[in-house]
Amino acid sequence: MRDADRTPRPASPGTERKLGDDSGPGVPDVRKPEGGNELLRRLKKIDPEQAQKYRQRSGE
Amino acid sequence: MNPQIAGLDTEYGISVEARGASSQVEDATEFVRSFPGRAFVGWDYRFESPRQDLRGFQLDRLAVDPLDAEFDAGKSYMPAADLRADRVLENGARFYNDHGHPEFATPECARLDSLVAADLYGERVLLETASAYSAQTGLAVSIYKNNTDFHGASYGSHENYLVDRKLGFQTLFQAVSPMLIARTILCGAGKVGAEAHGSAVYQLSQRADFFVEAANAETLYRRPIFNTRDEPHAPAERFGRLHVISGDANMIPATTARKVGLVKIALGLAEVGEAPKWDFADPVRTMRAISRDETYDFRVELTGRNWTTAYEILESYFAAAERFLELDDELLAVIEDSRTLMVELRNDFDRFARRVDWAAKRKMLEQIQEMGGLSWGDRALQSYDLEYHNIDPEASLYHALIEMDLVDREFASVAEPDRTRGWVRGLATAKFKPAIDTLGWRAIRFRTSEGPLDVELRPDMLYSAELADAEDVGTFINHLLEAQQGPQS
Repeated sequence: MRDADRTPRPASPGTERKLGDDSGPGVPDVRKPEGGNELLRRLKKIDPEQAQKYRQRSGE
Repeated sequence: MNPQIAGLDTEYGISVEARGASSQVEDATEFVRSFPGRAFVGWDYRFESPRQDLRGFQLDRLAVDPLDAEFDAGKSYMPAADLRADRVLENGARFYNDHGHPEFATPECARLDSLVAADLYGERVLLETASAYSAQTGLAVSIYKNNTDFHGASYGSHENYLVDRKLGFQTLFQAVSPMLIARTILCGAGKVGAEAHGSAVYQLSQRADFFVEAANAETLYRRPIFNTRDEPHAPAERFGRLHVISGDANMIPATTARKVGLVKIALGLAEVGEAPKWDFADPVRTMRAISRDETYDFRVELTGRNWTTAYEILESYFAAAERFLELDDELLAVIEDSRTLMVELRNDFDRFARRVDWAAKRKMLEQIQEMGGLSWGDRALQSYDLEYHNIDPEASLYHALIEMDLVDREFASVAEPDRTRGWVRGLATAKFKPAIDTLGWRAIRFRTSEGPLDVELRPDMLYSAELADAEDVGTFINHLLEAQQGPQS
């Protein structure tokens, strides 16, 4: 893999927002339906930018 | 079939508060050293040969990821053994720092249920170590059982299978490669987006982006689907070790068991010379295409302008296994389960998603999109993807699915250990640690009144339960030496 390939790629082409695009919602609006379930409770605690900040060394 | 001995080694992702990839090697060392349980320190590196290739040659050097080389530029690390911080645990597992990742390598296991239990035990070891590390350093740490950082850095969850040396490269490659590619549909851990080779919405495999060759001995860069590293950790004249690097780390225990069981079926067929013969037009492109196929047709191009599907490839192994192998209860269950899943994948995705990581995560991400008005293009989805793999039961989204009864829990987290040499390693660590000089996959070097004594452990047998009753190290050693003379499997 070339260095140039080591960037997040858009999840889909066209009109949808691209990874790395700072505009628009970055986290679910947790006031919306299905409140009270365990998934929703945990989502509130997750930084929606977590994956952008997460950098690792290559392993095997 | 003889017992098929296998092990799993998982490199975990590690995220330490206010730290990053440039200090990850040192952080992983400190992390492993924080392990609060009992362990033996003194790993035996004598038999390690990662540059030896199954095809009969040795590489001068292994390729290194250029970005990692940048991290290391100008740095001087402590001696390798100190950096690795190897610990041997009382269940026979190895816990150490591998290229900046805390790695838990299970003891060798004969059965799938014991291997899954050992893998789950590894998660608990990482979790306890994280607590101890945070208490010591005051830094929060998150541990992820996944294979990517979404920026092009991948780390592995490897499978290791003891094989007969007589099989050789060609036989293994032809028998196992189609399975490694086709099993992705039932074993992938799933990933939002792509890290190379164009774009993708959601992939079945975390690792497919990173394979660029059908076969080679590399693991850090220019990775292959079929890894040819020839490092048997056993007498090389009789044994080999199939080192599988193309699979994903799985959160759902049933997926872990299936991943290993499917390769065992391929290896069983290789042993009897009855593995299905599939000649892919381009294995690397095929694996990538399967990983990204949103139609779930999973079409596979073959040589000679023919084609088939991943479903048909898997079924060909199952039909051959039923015809030519004496299958045990676990492998029979793997076949039955896999057939059911292949039907559910096309007809009942919700049921399918209860037992396969990529589907469970996809369904979860779709629910999150619905709740939050997001689309697949929102980068927050990669954060929720990552948090599916968080091993902390209080934070993990995978564990949220367990609590919501959206995934099945078919395996116990504790199982009777198989009495492999891994079990012996654990016994020695628990009972006779002061008498051990060094310890590794292959042998134990004891300190005796007459000097160091190397005792080779048999990789292919199940030891007698009486070994656990040995009250002194002399008796223990004598049992091991007697076992060396036992019948060959």
